[in-house]
Amino acid sequence: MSQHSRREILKGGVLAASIGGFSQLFGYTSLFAQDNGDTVEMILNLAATAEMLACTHYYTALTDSNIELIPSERNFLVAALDTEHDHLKFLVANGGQPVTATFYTPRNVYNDRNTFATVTQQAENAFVAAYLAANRRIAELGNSLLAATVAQIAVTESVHLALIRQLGGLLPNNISLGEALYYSTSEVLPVLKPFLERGTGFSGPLSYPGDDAIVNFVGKDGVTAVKPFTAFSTSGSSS
Amino acid sequence: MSQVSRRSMIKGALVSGASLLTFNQIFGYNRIFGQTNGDDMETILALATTAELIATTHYYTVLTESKIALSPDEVNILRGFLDAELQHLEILYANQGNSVATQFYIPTGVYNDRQQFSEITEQLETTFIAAYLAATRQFAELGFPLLAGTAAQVGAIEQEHLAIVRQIGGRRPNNSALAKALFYNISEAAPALQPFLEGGSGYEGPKPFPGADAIRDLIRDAGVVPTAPYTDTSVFTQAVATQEASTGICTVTPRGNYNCNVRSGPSLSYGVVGRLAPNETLTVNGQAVDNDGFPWWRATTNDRWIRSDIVRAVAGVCDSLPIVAK
Repeated sequence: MSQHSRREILKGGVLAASIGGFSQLFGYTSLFAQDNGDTVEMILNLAATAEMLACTHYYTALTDSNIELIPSERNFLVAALDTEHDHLKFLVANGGQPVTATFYTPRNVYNDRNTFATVTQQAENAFVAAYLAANRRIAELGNSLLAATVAQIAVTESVHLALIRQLGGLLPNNISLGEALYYSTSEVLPVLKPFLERGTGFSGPLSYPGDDAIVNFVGKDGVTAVKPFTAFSTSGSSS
Repeated sequence: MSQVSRRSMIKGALVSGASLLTFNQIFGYNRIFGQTNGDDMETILALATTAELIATTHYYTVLTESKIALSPDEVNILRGFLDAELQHLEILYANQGNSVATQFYIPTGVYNDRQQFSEITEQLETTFIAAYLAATRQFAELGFPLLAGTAAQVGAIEQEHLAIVRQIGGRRPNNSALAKALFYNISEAAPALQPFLEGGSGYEGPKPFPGADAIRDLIRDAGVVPTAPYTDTSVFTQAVATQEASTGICTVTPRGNYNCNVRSGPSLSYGVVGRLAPNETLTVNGQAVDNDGFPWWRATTNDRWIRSDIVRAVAGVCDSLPIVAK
């Protein structure tokens, strides 16, 4: 997996969101009116946007929050931040481009434990479902290694979902399967939109802190890097 | 999701005569270990079904025979695990998965020591997750996207189990950036499962699969919410139907109550050659992106183009249209 500095990701990866607006960039016609036509490019862009949002969210919860976290919770959130950052780097290395590097978040999300847990649970639930839909669609398009890689990400996000439920005082494991909320990844857009365009009750914006800030913050408490399926050749050997 | 009684589960799913055969004989090492990309559907489903039977037997046993002092929260969590594994098993049976055994060997002392239970369960769940990820890859390769999606759904829950069981053992629950891709083909998981099926040094048993009815009696009200798998296409009827109806063409109409310019090429720099009124439609069969990043749809008649963001599809899937030369 390639290493990207903040400058590299921002310079090469962010689409011209500030000029066109989210709607114009993706095109509501193609996103909302479509049925099953997500392209790989669209999936990777949506995923990269979601991962940049997740990085910004977890970084802020850890550095600018009034929520009292016990050490094990903080430890899990640091790992979650490092994991999301790893996903972002993978997506950018594979052509994904976040549509923005600034995000809006619900008011009080970093002041109240229950609000934080509820909002994060909703977001992670949507992310898991979006990656599951991406897996289905990319499998349909015949790219088996990328399909399996997005499944690796979906599976990892599901852990965040479980642990955030636990942080909110809920049973962590409450469902039998990762929820297939979407048939197409683009169906996640309404969930993402208020984070990008300042929905009602949202404040901000918060800026993506950058690769260097995340790496420095995580320090030695990061997670183990794992080889994605895309590192395999089509015959099964690792490249 | 079908409900499978213990009797029908065992009767319908156990490979005939499995108890008389060894794991090697049933799967066949030539087929399992010698292949590169050749797992067939039967092998994939058989391995997954066998793995789920091991998991249900394992979690049932820890809940009913263990000497580990589990907290009430941990008991509830493990009952949730057990229910989820049973539901996975039912999905596999519904998709013609056949287990190769209904009794299993377990590492000695695993139900007497919290740490050992945590570590052995982590090893098992790691194997299961990697196997489901390999299955996802293989289903994608074989052209079964709904099965690929369903395998990923199962993998997501197994990864939750892995994280929480690490936590039970006092280790950080989320310790890796991605779920581990240990196997390229699901059959590569066979050596990890083999001692649970055949026993060996350091293993005791066998323990029989307790049956679906006994499991439900134990779970009672601590079950997890059943979630629809991708293979249950009734959940996505509209999307699937639309996809199947896609024929490589798409029909569009103006998004609003206004006329849309139709141009001779895919950008605003081309001249206007016609207009599409609000009550009119245009059939398109190709697309191209202009320098501003907007997709344009190409009409099937003559070389006429319309910008994608000012129209909406009324039939077909425009985004799937082939990219064509400008």
